[in-house]
Order: sequence, then C-alpha cells, then structure tokens
Amino acid sequence: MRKLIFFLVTLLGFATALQAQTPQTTFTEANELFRTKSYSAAAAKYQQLIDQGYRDKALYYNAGNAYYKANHIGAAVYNYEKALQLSPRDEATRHNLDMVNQQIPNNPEALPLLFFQQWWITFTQLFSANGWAVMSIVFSWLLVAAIIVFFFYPGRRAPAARIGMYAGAVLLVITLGMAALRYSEHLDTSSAIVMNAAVKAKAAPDAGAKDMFELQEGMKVAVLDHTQEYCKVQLVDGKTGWIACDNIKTL
Amino acid sequence: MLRRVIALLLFAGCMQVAQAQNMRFTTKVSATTIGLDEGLQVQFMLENAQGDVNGFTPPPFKDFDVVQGPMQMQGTSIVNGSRSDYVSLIYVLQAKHVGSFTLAAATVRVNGNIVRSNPVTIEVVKGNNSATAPSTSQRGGGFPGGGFPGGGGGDNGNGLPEGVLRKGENIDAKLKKNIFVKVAVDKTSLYEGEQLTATYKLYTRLPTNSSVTKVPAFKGFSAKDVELPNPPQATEEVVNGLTYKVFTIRKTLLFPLQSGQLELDPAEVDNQVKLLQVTPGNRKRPRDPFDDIFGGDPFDDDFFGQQGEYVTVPYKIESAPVTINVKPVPANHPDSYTGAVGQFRMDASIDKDQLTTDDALTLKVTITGQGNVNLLNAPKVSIPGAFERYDPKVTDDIAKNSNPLSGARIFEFPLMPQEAGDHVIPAIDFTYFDPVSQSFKTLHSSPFTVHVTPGKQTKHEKEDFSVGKNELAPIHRVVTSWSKASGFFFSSVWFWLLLLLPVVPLVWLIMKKRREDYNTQNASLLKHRNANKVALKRLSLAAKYLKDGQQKAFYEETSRAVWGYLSNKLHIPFAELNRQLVTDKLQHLRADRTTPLFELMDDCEMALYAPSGGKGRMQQTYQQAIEIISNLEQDLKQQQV
Repeated sequence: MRKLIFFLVTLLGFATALQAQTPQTTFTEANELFRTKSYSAAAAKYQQLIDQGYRDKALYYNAGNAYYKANHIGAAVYNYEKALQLSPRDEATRHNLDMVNQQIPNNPEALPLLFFQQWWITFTQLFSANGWAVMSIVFSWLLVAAIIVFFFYPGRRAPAARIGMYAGAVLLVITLGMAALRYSEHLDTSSAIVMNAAVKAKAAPDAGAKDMFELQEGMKVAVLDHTQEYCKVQLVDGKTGWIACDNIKTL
Repeated sequence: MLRRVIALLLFAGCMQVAQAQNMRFTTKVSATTIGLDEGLQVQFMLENAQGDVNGFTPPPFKDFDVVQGPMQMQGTSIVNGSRSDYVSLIYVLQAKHVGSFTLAAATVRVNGNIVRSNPVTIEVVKGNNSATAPSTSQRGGGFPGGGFPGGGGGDNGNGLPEGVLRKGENIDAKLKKNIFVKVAVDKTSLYEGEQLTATYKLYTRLPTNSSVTKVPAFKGFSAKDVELPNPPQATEEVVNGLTYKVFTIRKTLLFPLQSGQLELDPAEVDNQVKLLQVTPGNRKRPRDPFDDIFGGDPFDDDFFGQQGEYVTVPYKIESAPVTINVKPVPANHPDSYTGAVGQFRMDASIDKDQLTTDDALTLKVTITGQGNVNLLNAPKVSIPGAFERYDPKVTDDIAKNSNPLSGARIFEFPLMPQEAGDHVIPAIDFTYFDPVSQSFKTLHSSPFTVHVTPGKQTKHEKEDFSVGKNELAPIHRVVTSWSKASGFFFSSVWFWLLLLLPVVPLVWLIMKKRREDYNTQNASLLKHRNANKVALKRLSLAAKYLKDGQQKAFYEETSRAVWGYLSNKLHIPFAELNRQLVTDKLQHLRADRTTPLFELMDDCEMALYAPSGGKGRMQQTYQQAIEIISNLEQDLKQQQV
C-alpha cells in the first residue's frame, strides 16, 4: 500500500514537471517563431496557449497575426475579434482587423453608425465589464448609506442624504445595467466568423436548396436561427442564407 | 463562318432581281474591265413590263464579236412579298481590240413607247485581267451529272436531265425530291461533356446557287467547328437509289454543357435553282424574241437549239431538327471531378524544390488526352497556407482539326512561399469520366516536398516594424496576466454578495423599527380587544362588593370599570381621560346610548361622595353598567365593521 502511494506521488511529480513549461516561455517561443517567419508553427503555439484556457488580449492578437501570415484568414479574424472583446479600443488590433477585412473578397461593409450610436458604444466601452461591476457595488453602498441616514438618523444631514439617495439610485441602475450589458456581450453567441473559403449560402436549410450568395472565409455573420446542422446567417449588409454550421465559429 | 456561299453553278453571272414594281429597262455587264481574250456577258433586262412589248433593237456591237446569243431568259421573283417579272436577252461578246468602248442603248417598244436602256462603257485591256471572273469559268462546278444542259448523269427515267422541268411537272415536288439538307450525328444519346460530331450536309441533284442563311446556334453545347476545305468539295452519295452530290455545310464537334433533351437547331439554306423549262412542239424561232414572249405563247419558243427556257426558282430549305438525349454523369463522382469527360493522362511537376522566401515556384499540371480538352477546369490543388497562390495560367495545345478532339491543357500555378520551413504540396488528384467504360477514373500525382529557407527580404523586415496602411501592426511581447479565469466579476458570487451586502444593515434597521412599532401598536390593540373582558371582570368584583354591601367600594369599582373600558376602547391613556374627550370620541353614536353612560358616571360620582339609597339602587346601577357596556361594545363593533 505504501509502495503504491509512493508510486503515485512520483507519478504526480513527473506530471507537474512535464507541465513546468510556463506559459510565458511558450509565448516567447511563439514570438520567436513568428519573427523567423515560421507562421504556422507560431500560430500553433499561440493556439496551444489559448486552448489551455489563457485569456489575454495580447495572446489573441498575436495568434491573429500569425494566422493571417499563415493564410488562415478566418482564424485570424476570429482571434482579432476575440482580442477586441477583451479590449474593444485597442488600436493595433483594430488596425489589423481592418486590414484583413479589406482583403476578404466581396466583404460587405457595415453602414457607419449614427453619432448617438457611436456615443453609446463609446460610453459602454468606457469601462470593462468588471469596472462597471465594481462601480455598481460602490454606488449600492452609497445608496444604502444615504437611505439609512435619511430614514433613521435624519437631522441636519437630511438634505444631503436625500441628494445622495437619488444620485446613488440613478448611478447604481446605470452602472449595474452597463455591467450586465458588457457581460452579456461576452455571452452573446449570435456573432460568428466564417472559417471556410467559398461557402455557398442556401435559400433553405437543405443541401439541395438554391444557392443565394457566396460567403468568404473571414466574413463576420450574425446567426439568426439554426437547425441541427444548418445555421441561418445574416451578413452585415442584411443578406440572409443558410449554411452548414460547421463552416462558422461562434465568437 | 456565319455565311458560307456555295456556288454550285453560276449560269448567268450576277443575276439580279428587280426590287421595284415599276418598269425598268437596264443593260448589265459581267465586268466593266475585261481582257482582250475574255468574254463579256451583256444582259438587257426588261422588268415589270406590262402590255404590248415588241421591237427590241440591240445596240450595234461594232468593236465586239458576238460569241453567243441572243439567249432569252424570263422569270419571276418574289422579294419581300413583292412580285416582279422580268425578261432579258443575253449576249456573250468578245472584244476585237484594246481600248475603251461604249455600248449604246438598246431600245424596245412597250405599248407603243420607245424605252431605252442605259449605255455602258467597257474598258478592254491586254491579256488576262484577274479582276474579272466570268461566270462561264465556274460552269463545271459540280452540277449533278456533269455538263449542262443535257449531261449524261442524273437521269430521271425518261432521258431528261434533272435540271429540266417538263411540262406539267410540279416544281415544288421536284425541288423537294432533289434538294435537301440533312444533319448527321454520330450518336443521339451521350453523357454530359462527351463529344458529339454533327455534320450538316446539302444533298442536291439540281444546278443551284446556294447560300446558308441561318447557321445553328447549338444552345446548351460548347461547339468547336472543324475547318472545311474551301471551295467545298463535293462527294457522291446514293440515297434511295438516286445519286446525289453532297456538300458539307458545317461540321462541328459538340460538347453538351447540360443534361436533358437538347435539340440541334436546323440550318437554313437559300437556293436559287435554275431549271430548264421544256415545252413540246417545234416552232420557228421568231426574229424578235420579245414578240413571242409577250405577244405569243412563250413556251413555244425554240430557244438556243433547245425546246425550253431557263427559269430561276428560289427555294428555301431547312434541315430537320435533331433531338439529342444527354445523360448526366453519375452522381457519385469523387470530389476531384471537375467535369472532364474522355480519356486523359496527367503530368504534374514543380520547377524547383529548394528556394528562399524571396523566390517563386511554379507548379505545372499538364492534362493530355481525348475529350473535352477545351473545357477542362483546373484540378483542385490544395496549396498549403505557407504559399501565396495566384490563379493558374492556362495554355492550350489542341491538335488542329482533330476528331475526336484531342490535345493538352497546361495549368501553371505560380506559388510564392511566405514561410520558411519544409512544406509539402499534397498530391494532385484529377478525376475524369470515361464514357466508354462509364466510370470515373482518378489520376494521382506524387506529393512534392519543398524546402524553403528564409530569404533576405531586408526591405520587408523594415516595413514590418512600421504600422503602414497595408502592414500588420507588430506582435505584442508581453502578456499582462496569465490567468485562465474567464475573469467576469459580474457573474461571480462575490459580486452579488458585495452588491447586496449593505442591504443587510438596512433590513436589520427596518426590522428593528417595525418590531418596535408593532409592539406599541400591539399593546393598545390587546387592551382594545380585552376592554370588555376587563370591564366585566371589574364589574364582577363590583358584584361581590354589592353582595357584601360595601357601597363605596362598589361604586368605585363600577366607575373604574366604565372609565377603564372607555380608556381601552377609545385608545385614550387613562391619565388623559375626561368627559369632554369621551364625548368627542363618541359623538358619532346615537344620543340615547351616550346619555345613559354619562348618567351612570354621574350616579357613581355622586354615590361616592354622598352615599344614598340602599342595596336596590346599587343593584340598579350594576344592571345599568352591564347594559351600557354591552351596548357600547356592540355599537363600537358595528362601527369597526
């Protein structure tokens, strides 16, 4: 029995030793591979880190670059979008994604947003989901403090407490709403990237249906509906069609 | 080759047909410039003359010898629905000497009026003039049976040649029997993409000047014409025991592009058939031919030593459409099938297997064989992502006039390596459908291994570090945190705990306040509810005093019972209780209820300070007190409801 335990312990030790390579080492290796133009190998290393569960803007961004250089446009767009989810206002990611999108043939361009939509997006992106969440906690404490003062210990502080109560309530609702919104954006599975080249969009979820238009690798689509194997997708210009779900990867 | 004119026989040169309805008298010549030794054909043509025509006088042919003529022709033509009749006289002349000569006008008398034709100037030069092409030289061009008019072949049974129309013979039936167009196809059922050879042939036994007016469009096919010899060569074919001259109008290799029932369009051929109309009888030839044509019986003309005259009959024929049944290729084709049908060989090669990222590589795929070579699509080549690929350059090397179509198509894929390392270009598969064995056959090349070393690319390297418009921004070197957590505070329990934490003291404070409020409220409620019981208890104590005859104690207790009752029932603290307050509280009650109450109070007060009466009075007061309290209890209850 003791022998068995000893054996298990050594085995465990080996296993940890094998995993001893830190993610930073792998990351540096991948960067080096990228520098020597071995893009496929670099992309594989980045992907390995992502598959291990690491979530970081720089990781997704570098993976996007490597995939782009290795001619995997779909995977490149996917990783850039992932990086943008984590850091929506990152200039380098936006630049590279724009550049890749321009190289996709027949890629429809979304209509530019109206000024108030633009403002709204800028506002929601002022803080990350976690930032909004922390702020909502602070305001909930402030609100409760103001309520307690106003209802239980009024006196000279009553007017200040009243203002604090109203302001706290409004700010709590806003920050909580923003936190929820930003969080739901991450859960949103309605956006997807086309991962295969020249996918024919069909008029109905059936292999024999009429071809409507062609989707190129790297196009961003909204998934409106799906059956077991077919997904109804919509391009940013409003065209809809059915394609096999394994052609797209949900963001 | 939209319009191929087949000159089978040109008898009268450029025969022109009058277009207008009005009368015209014209002089036409076969050429305005002739050689000294060449013949000149002069035609005097009277169109649409109605009425009495006579007195034709030809111009004097001073500088020419009349070689032949006059020959007379007459006919009818219908062009665009308007009919015109013409009569013409033809002379064949030969110039005597070199120079420029004018043929004066010929005259004819129509209904008594003299009509003149146009004078024509002829230039006679020395020797052969290639510009002229007298029709007579083409005479031998393939009339069935050889010569004209009475050649040996083409006998229709009674010794007359086919080009002769006997009296009473139906022209239409004759034409139908002797001229037709046929489409010959080598198969009528085939696979999509398989080759079909269609030959359009003109069969004739009559002298005719034919031109193809409508060529088939071959809808649903890819067509490749076979070049035909020019001028067309005639062959002979026996159909139903009759020998026909056969001219190939068009020969086309067809490749169906779709499956189903496809129809080969008909070809349309316009013929100008020249027939000699034979008339029985042997009259003396009149000196003036017009006299006879218009004045007498035109068929009784003894013309040119023959009995009859030449007429030109337009005849339009169309080939019968042919239906071709095209079968689709079997559906179970491999992925690498791109539509090739036939028998093919494939050869694939790369021009180098070691290069740097600065160089380019060419992958060359040659497909050779028989079949739809001209329609071959590039085989599917899965180029690894490490290469930048471009559209292939396609060159054809198809054997001219090959039937079946054979040759080679060469695809050259230029490849630019983007990545250093050993890359494998996977084997290329090319699948074709063999219609003979009715099966798909797949050819495989061997895979290619390419060793790519990093090139210098000094310029490129520099650009990589600047965020240009078409360059990627450089990669990040640092990762801020190596955390695997999804990192969403919002979805964590801690967030909600912290968010709701301040609610705890708030709730506690509220609870505390509510309990306090409840307790105070509850006390008075209990008193209110138990007021009757307390009052009755006190009254029962009073009843004991009544029995014992303790007058003072009895009144005290009764008074306390009534006041206590009011205090509890009306939520008025005992200390603040006075008559005025009670009157206010009970003012909504009827006066006959409040009056005895106040009387009872007065009685009790009076009896306390001035005891009077006896046991009977006490008994009455007691009864009164019970009655008043129970009445009040009832009233207040109703009021509450």
